[in-house]
Amino acid sequence: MACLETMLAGSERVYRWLVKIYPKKFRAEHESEMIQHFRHLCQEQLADLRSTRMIGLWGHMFLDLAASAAIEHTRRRESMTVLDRDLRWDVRYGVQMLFKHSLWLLKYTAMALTGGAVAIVLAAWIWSGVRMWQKEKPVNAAWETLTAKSPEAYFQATLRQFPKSGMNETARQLEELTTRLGIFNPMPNRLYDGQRKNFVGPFDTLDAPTYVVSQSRKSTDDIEEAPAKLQDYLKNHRADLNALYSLVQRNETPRWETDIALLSRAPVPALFYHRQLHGLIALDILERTRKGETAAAQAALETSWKINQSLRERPEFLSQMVALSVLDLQTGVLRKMERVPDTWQKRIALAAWQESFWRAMELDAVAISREMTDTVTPVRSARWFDLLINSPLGRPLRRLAGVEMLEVSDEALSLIRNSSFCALSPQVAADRLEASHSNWSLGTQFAYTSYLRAWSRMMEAMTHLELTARVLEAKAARTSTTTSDWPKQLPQMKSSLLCAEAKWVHEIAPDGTIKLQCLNFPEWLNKVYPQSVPLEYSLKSKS
Amino acid sequence: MKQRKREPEELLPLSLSVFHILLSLADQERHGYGIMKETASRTDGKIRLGPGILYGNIKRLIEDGLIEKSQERPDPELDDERRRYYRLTQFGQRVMVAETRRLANLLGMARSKRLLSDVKFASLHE
Repeated sequence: MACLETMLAGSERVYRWLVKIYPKKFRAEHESEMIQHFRHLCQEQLADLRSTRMIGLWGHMFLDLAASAAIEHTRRRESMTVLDRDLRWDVRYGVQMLFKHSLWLLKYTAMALTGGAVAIVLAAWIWSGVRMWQKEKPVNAAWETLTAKSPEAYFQATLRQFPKSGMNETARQLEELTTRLGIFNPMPNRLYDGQRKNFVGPFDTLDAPTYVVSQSRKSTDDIEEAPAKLQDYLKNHRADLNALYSLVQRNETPRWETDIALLSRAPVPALFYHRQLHGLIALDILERTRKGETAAAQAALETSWKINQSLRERPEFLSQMVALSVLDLQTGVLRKMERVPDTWQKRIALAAWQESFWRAMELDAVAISREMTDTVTPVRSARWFDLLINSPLGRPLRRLAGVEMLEVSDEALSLIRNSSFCALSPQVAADRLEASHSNWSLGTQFAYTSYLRAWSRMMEAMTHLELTARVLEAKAARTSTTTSDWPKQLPQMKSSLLCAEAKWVHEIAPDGTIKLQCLNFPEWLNKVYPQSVPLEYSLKSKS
Repeated sequence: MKQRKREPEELLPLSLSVFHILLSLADQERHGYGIMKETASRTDGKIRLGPGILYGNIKRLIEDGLIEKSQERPDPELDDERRRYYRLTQFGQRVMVAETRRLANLLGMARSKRLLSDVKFASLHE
């Protein structure tokens, strides 16, 4: 109903403005009646909920205005015969008069052009308003089917679950320590990593990611010795690094600012800061593991896990994406450890990660839709059409874009939740959604492609988790045997928890090396991430 | 100076819009929107009087003394009291009668020349 009233008020405002083309005397007598008349006509058309009816009405109004205003103006100036006086009430006569008086023709041509431009904007305004009004209810109902809450209730519930909070003392001290370690300092504000502009910290110059990523993705337990500069760095910063582990392990989980009510302007932990911090810890774990210092390596991994938990427990989509990229590093080094406590099997359970990722995508969809729909807050895209999109004429377009974004997001998220995603490539799903939706708003395309791409990224991380779980199971089985050989049967080694069609197999070579391998994994995943999806791992014999 | 008494025939023929406005007011007082609605309903939506044409005509008809504003205000409970009602004057009624006679004469001439078939003629009276 609010939409209907907005459209009505908007149309009336435009008509009120157009009526000013009549002579003053005429307006003094009939302006209020004409506007009241127009209001009734609008109410009649809107009652039908068909945008074409409103467009038709406006077409009629423009003709009526042009012809009758021309007649009123000419009537004021001309002395006419009785026949002329009758004829002038004829629309065709009005048009003839326009051509007869060239100045008037010029004036009314300009008026017609202006009217045409206004009509186009108005038609877009009415179209988007009516379309939005038609769509809003079914889209909200579909969302309710997906999440058991209306978009508004969903957002409010999430707000209650994640109230506005500040940075805690552990996070503050952690940032002080990491600054000393030469890691990019996200203070004083930590909005994404936009503030990193041209900053190259001491840790940046060491090119640690090349070594850490190559080692963590190796499909064996072998760890090459770290380059000398990285070993020197660890040696020189040992005290600060140990202080960091101690700080995190002895205190509550570090927490950064949260304020999801700010929607896209909500603070999020800096992406680059976290990547560097966990890269450094992974470097230390690799070195400790290589040297057989298992307990120290485990303590470092505990620290990394606890800090990353802080990201994973956050509601925003971006934090989940950062947490996933850190997870790849963590599982990479975890696979290389000889013994880890049983708790790690629970920590890397797929379902828990999937659930938090789903939740973050849902909140993201609601928040973006909310931001578009909330016409009070201006959109700042730094584009030329900001002026239009933030003006009253752009409001229905924004509202419609917001509703359509939620509609497409709902379809993408339903697909993710309800499909056997291993069997459905995100690209195929994106093509399907693209074909079934209009792309008048860039936002709708963004909505489905971003979630489907994020989900394929999630799938990549899940393969890391599954491989790690298989490796940990194999190592636990070997620990339980009295001999140095691998047991013939490994528990849960047959099926993949990720994809029903895929299965894990193992093979023991004559030299005692066991090779774990996943077969029938979806081809699309290998195509998207040919280098990074780990589907096999080789472990040497105890002896 | 005494104004010359005008004859209804001086205003004939009436334009289509004027004729329909006067016809709407022939049986009762109406406001502008009511005139438009009644005309549209009577002509199956073929004649739609826009606000500009309608109120322009009303203004002229008042000036010519064919219609006048009604002094009676509607019951606020039944209608919007801000609405202005119009009614036919005696002169307006005479003009309508004259115009209807003129049209009937025209129709009679057409019939005498057998320009209208029985079916078509019948449909005009439905």
